[in-house]
Amino acid sequence: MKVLLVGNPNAGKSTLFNALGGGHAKVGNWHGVTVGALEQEMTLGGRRVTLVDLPGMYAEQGMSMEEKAARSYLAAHPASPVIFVCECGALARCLPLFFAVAAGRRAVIALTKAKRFFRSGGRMDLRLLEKRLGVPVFVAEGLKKRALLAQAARVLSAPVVLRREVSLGEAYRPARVGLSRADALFTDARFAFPLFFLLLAAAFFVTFAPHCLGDIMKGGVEALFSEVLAARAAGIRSPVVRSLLAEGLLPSLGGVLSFLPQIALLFFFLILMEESGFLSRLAYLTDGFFAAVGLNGRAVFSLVMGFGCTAAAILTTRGLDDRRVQRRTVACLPYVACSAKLPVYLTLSASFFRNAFLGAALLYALGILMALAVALFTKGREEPPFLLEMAPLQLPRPLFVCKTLLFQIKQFIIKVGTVILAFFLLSWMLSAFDWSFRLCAAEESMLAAICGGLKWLFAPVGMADWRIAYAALSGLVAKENVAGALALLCGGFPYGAASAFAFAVFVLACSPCVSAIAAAARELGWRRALLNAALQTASALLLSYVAYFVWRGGWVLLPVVLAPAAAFLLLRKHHARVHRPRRGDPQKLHR
Amino acid sequence: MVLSECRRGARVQVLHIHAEEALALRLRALGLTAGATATVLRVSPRRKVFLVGTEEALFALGAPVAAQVEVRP
Repeated sequence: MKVLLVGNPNAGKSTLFNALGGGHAKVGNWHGVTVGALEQEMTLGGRRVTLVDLPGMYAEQGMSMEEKAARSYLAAHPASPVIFVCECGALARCLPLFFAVAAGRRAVIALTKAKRFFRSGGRMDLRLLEKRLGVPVFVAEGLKKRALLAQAARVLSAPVVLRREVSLGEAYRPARVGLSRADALFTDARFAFPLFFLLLAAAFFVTFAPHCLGDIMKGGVEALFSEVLAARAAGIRSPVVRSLLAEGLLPSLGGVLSFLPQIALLFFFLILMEESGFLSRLAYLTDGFFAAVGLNGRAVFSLVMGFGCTAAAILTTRGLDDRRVQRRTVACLPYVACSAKLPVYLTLSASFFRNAFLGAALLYALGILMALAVALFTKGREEPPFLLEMAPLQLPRPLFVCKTLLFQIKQFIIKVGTVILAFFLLSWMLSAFDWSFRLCAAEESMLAAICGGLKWLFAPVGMADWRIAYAALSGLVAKENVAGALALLCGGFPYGAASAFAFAVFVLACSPCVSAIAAAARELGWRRALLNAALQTASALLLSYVAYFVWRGGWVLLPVVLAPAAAFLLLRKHHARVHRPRRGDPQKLHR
Repeated sequence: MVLSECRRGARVQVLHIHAEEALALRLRALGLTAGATATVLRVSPRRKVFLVGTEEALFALGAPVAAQVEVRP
């Protein structure tokens, strides 16, 4: 039997899902976190059930793709009982949705965010509410797991809900809704924008700047691999095992793992932003700007998520109400630098910037500009509608932040220990042995024979080198592979500043990893996802040539090229097509 | 008048929503029902986005959406 968690976005369904079943559904203080149905087996009231966390919905016939997904799931399971999760402060307005989805089913109502409701002057009488609504009602906040399970189990014996209109009367008094002092500040552009840029600068500084926390922790991990473990590996007698460890795994895996502290710091700042409710305010403040490039403020959620993981960010686009905006946002996301690109950027920026902080900041800024340029280029005629409920402003909960951060770190280590390790083992084997399986130099190896023809890919940027091409294309599996492959095959990046910048631009602009391509395929279909990936990789190669040219002194010509292009994109008008039928066949005359 | 013509701080009563069904349902789910009271809490400098509060929700809506909500002071 399935038990469905249904309710408005950001009501607390995923938090309840995790609390009841011990799951790890993604939770965040913004609307649209859960993008698909999550299922988990558990015991409820002595019975084995499947608890299902559905995406949030405002109305039964909702307009977003998430709402359609939830509606389809409900329709496919007409007899499944429902735990309707609702914020205390939103109970009255959620009743139409409750009766719409719960009619004909057994249901209970789980109320969340009670403390905030009472603090804002709201009042309710649970017994009276149960009497008026005809279903069990309980406050989920503050309950221990056993009590929570007992309350949730009431759904199995609850009466079947009949669709009707109900007035809450004296059972419920709504809380005051308005702008708090904090909200007045965070929705004022004169305060919020400088604060946002300050936070961003602080995050970058702490993570990337020399002698700051991220850099110090990275140095510690590097020292562990390059001095302690490498010294031990050098003493191994077997030449094959010594080559595997000292020349293979330690430089490549060590190179990737040394960035773990900085990736963790980046996720820490992202989690703070998600959890605080600041993202909703940012969406409100930036909607006018995003509308100018054909998106809307809602896209800010996906773009900010893109700094963590492109695949996860693509999935959040399901919360967008317009399919065309979704397609454009998905096309922009690969240019936003995800955490996996961080090792590559820091490795390469050391070649063209003395200060890694400035180099990384430049690449991040370039990625955002390219994402906006893509949005502008693909802008349509119509402005997508913008309607977004503000998530409550709150101080991030320390326990929640720690748990989420540890989960992200665990995911990264698992990825390194599986996909990336397998890739490096294969790369080492192919680059350390010839076709007779004898140890040899990389230039005589199987990998050199297979990939030799690729060396012309980056010849125009001063790198006629199959190793660089192999490292670049290894990013299609996982972006972390690029830095590791450079360490494995070249012992670092062996070329100058102009080539390093060109290579960084390629990594910035090329297709995302296979996980992101698969996520895009789920949203847009395989044909469009693969076409996007191919176009991005091809254009990334051309952009890397342009970047090399610019770095070598061609920057003086940039304004001559960019100014007319920008003017065209910003000022172009979309003319309606005029058709005149001829003998029954419509003929396109002009745009 | 419509919501997009209101100034910051205006307290209005919703008369009718002239949007397509899906959008109208979403607006009603946020408390913008006929007869409900709404307050325009913030207006962006170029009047592109409005921050509106009803009895139970705080939400942002773009000017084109606000222009589809008929209100009276």
